[in-house]
Amino acid sequence: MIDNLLDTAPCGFVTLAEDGIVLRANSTLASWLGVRTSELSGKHFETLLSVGGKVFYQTHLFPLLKLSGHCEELYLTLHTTKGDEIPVLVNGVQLHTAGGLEYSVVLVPMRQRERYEEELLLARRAAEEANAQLAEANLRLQALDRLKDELLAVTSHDIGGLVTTIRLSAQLLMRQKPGSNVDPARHVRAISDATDRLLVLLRDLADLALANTGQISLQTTRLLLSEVAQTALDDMRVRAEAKSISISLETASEEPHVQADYDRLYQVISNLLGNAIKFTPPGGQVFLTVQKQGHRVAVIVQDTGIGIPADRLSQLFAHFKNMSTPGTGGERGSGLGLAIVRRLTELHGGEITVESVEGSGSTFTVLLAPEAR
Amino acid sequence: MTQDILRRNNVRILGDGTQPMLFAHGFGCDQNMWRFVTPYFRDDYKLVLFDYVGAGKSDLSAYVPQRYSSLDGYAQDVLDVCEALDLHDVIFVGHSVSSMIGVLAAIRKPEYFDRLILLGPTPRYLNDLPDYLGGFERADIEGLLDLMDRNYLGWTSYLAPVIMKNPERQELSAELEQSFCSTDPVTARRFAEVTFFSDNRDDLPNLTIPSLILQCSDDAIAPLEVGDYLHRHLSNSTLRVLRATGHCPHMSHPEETVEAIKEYLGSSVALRAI
Repeated sequence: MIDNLLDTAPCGFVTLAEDGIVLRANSTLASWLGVRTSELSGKHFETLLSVGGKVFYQTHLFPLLKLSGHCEELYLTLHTTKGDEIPVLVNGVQLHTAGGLEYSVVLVPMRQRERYEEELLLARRAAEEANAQLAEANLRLQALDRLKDELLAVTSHDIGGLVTTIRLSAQLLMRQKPGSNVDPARHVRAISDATDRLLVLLRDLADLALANTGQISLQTTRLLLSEVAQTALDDMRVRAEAKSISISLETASEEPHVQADYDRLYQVISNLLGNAIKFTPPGGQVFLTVQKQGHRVAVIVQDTGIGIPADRLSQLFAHFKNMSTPGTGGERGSGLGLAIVRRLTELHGGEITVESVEGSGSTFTVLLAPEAR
Repeated sequence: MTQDILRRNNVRILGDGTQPMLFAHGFGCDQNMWRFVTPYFRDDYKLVLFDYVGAGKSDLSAYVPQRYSSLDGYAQDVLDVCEALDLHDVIFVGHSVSSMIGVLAAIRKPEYFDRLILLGPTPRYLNDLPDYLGGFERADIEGLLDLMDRNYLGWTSYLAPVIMKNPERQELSAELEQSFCSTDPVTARRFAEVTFFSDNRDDLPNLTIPSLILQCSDDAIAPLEVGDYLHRHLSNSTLRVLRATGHCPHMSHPEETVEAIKEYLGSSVALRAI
């Protein structure tokens, strides 16, 4: 029996046998659940709970009551006969009675606080999410920072090497005595070559910095990619012929115009052509193609060169990552070319992809959207 | 290394026997849950108790999210303990999710194990109808995760070690007056997801170690169909349905549970009262 006060108190009250079977329940709990008090006796406590509540009861509440003898302020959800859920806070305590072990359990509804907690929970989840994003951004920034440090280290090393070449050659020329066997022309050429490479390196560094900070402004005009390709190809022909590499251009018959910066696109295509020539051995071929691909226009630079190892493909457009790779004829570049090519392509709203088979060649594809009609 | 593992997993060794019984607790609790059954095995076995990293008094700093993002990481805890103590012929007793953790461990290193006792095991909690009835829909599990979030939100009295001060509750030994199922909210929440979204059905045919499936007659977490399914897919398994109801027969009905385990192990040692 439950005395009247407890029976109608504004909280649910239930006593459970050791195995969780309801021995007694008060009217308040029965009315919440939409049943008669007598219907609750003999039922398992977990049948009064939501599905999640059942699992929580079995994995948390029951072990806690059994092991520690009590539990305080556990959150559970009751499941009513109407299908509603009532959030409750549960306090329970173990009792030793003449009939054996029992548990007294009090349930207090917490609808108001539940809404407040809901907000807290949402806020916490949002904060956790934001934290995770921040941590990720931080990692990306750190990686970028390391890359810049590396870039600085590698370029200063390169500049140092070139300046040393110039200095040594200049000193040799200055100390040259009449009748010595120093060939002045060779040293002047060395100084000139080193100066050329220095200029390329410095120009590329400046371009990259400008492109990365978004300070390059495109002077777009209406143009055909095949026209830019033809000019770039003509300018590269001498370099290709010097290595006995055949170079050709194929264009589409109906080529859409694009809105683009002529000089920057020239830079993209000639850079890709220069790379293709650089990494193709004498006797090889370089194909330049302009064609429609889906709704976009593609400039494709394909070579029969040495190809790129699969593990380097993903890093290919990162700054200076190919710096340490001289060409098949010993050519050297700044190593910044592909990073610049990608940035310039992206500034045009385009996309660059690469496919390569080591030993048989590489294909770079620049995709640009046609001008809007 | 050995000491590190023993400390990391809060390993405790009891009993006077030689053959090891390794008790692995389920989700939501820690090694304390075994205290009603261990007295029955103390005389005849070497009892090894431990807490998974993230539970009980394990070393929380050893919790590596990547490692514990699947049950395999927990199986590695079991194998680490076996290796650290150089255990062989292990009778593994796992409750709930630990049953599957034990199955995974025994598939990877069968040489450590003699037999597996699986208490309320489930290879997959979610239904995959029409072929498989796990008992839960995704929304049910999300309801559980939500309950966990709310219980972990501010009710730290549940999480912090519960100190027993009431002298009337003298049935509890001093050793147990410290913490029960205390758990780290973050790791517990992840353990819940790993547990209830796991699917180990494909692993079952790879188990070569004999097993006893102990199933309760009315278990809200592991329905009878799940026990049948396991029995069909685990070769060399024995299925026994207990009269006990609920999901924790080792706590609610320790005598019947012990009896079933002893019968399976063929132990002639009479059941002793605590």
